Amino acid sequence: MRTELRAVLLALLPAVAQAGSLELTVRGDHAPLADAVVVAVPLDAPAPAPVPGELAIDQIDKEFVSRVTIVPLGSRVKFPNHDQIRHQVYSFSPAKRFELPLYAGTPANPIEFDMPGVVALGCNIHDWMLGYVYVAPTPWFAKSGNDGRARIDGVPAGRYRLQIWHPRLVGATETTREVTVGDGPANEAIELELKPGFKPRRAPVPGIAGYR
Amino acid sequence: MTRAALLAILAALAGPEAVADPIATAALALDYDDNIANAAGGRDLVDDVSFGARAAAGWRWMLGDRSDLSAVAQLDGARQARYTGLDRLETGGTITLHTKLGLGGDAPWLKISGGGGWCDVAFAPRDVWYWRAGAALGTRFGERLDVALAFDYEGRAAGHDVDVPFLVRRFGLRGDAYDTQAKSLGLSAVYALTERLSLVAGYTRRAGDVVSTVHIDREVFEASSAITPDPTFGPGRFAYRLGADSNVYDLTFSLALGAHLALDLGYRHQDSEAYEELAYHNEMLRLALVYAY
Ligand SMILES: [Cu+2]
Repeated sequence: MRTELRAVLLALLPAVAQAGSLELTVRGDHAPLADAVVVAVPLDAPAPAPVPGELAIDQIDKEFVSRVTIVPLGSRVKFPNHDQIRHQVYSFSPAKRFELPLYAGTPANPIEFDMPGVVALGCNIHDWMLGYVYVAPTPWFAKSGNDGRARIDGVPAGRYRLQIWHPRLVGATETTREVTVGDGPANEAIELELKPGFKPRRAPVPGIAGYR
Repeated sequence: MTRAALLAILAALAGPEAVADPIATAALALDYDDNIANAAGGRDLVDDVSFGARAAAGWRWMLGDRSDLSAVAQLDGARQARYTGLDRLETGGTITLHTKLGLGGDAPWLKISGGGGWCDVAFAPRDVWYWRAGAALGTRFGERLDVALAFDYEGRAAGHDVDVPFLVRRFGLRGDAYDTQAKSLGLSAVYALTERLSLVAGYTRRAGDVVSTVHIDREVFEASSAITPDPTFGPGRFAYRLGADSNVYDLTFSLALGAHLALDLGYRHQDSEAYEELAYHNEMLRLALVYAY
């Protein structure tokens, strides 16, 4: 009886029974690192496409909130402007080139991110505004918090390549690592090699070159 | 500017998308000048410290995706520690047309500005109307270096000219010594040493009138185009207007104290050659706290 019940349960809940979780602790400059993107790409089977979403990246006090946003491939993203001034968001990145005409409020047409990779965002009015969209090719992704931890739940058992990216990562592409997800949670720690970050200054600069 | 461009600007300003964005800046500054009277040397060399405050506010209208027009009213006051006759309050306005020649932080930009106002000085004969016009072209190289080239013109017309009757009769020299005009061409570079600390270096070549206040001096007298009594730096002195070529060198460290505030420490060296051997130098220091909305 016990064996039968177990068999029934397994048959009813195959995904849950076989799914594990992945927890990665990301460090950089010998400290926990926030805003690191972690994506799990299956090695033994083709990656299922993620479910596209309708997302928003806000502009608050002339900054992108959040600075790093992970969006599932195919998602449509709006750029609501909460400031009393206008913004003009653009990207030169190969994964998505676009330019929103100058706007207040929320531009009517969202931007569709249809190619995986990193999209760097800028504002043509406020040169210090920098943001990143990471377009994830699989449903399994997470962003590290201030404690450097990123947790991905519901990952089916198997072998995965973890792609880890951060705005200050040395080299333009991701760092990778192979992991196996089993019944229990897979824990990994990684130390990223970072280059010094540089954000254009917002404070006033004296002289004729200073603008805004 | 062509009529069509003017009409396009007016249409943009009046159109439904014409929402103006506010501009506000303010600054407090402590200035030192080792040769505030612009004297060539000797007993006429005087130095002074001044404390200044400046506020400017206005609006910026976007004229499409690449250009904007701003109108700003400014109030600029300064008090001298010693030579209080120079205490002043400037009230003026500036209109600037700014355009970015492309998309992104590296895109070159062009600015054309014009403005003017009234400068009320404690020693009333120094009161002047002033007007300025300028054009600047700048661009960013990489993420840390900004370079700009600027041409400026400034004219001043004294509110009250005081003639010295004898000099008018004998030499035809009028008392409009504070009526001046000057053109300048400057190159400046801003280098971000860190995200917070920037180094600003500039060189400006200025050609035009300068006002020098000294005791009666034959050489200065012969070189000048106007003379008026000027007790600002003590009795028995006269203000002379001279044509001069100046080299101005600027070096400023600017520390960001947050998103809107900066602390600037600047040094300026200026050497001016007025007439044959007649030359003078200024060494200036500035400590300023600058706010921008
Ligand atoms: Cu903006």
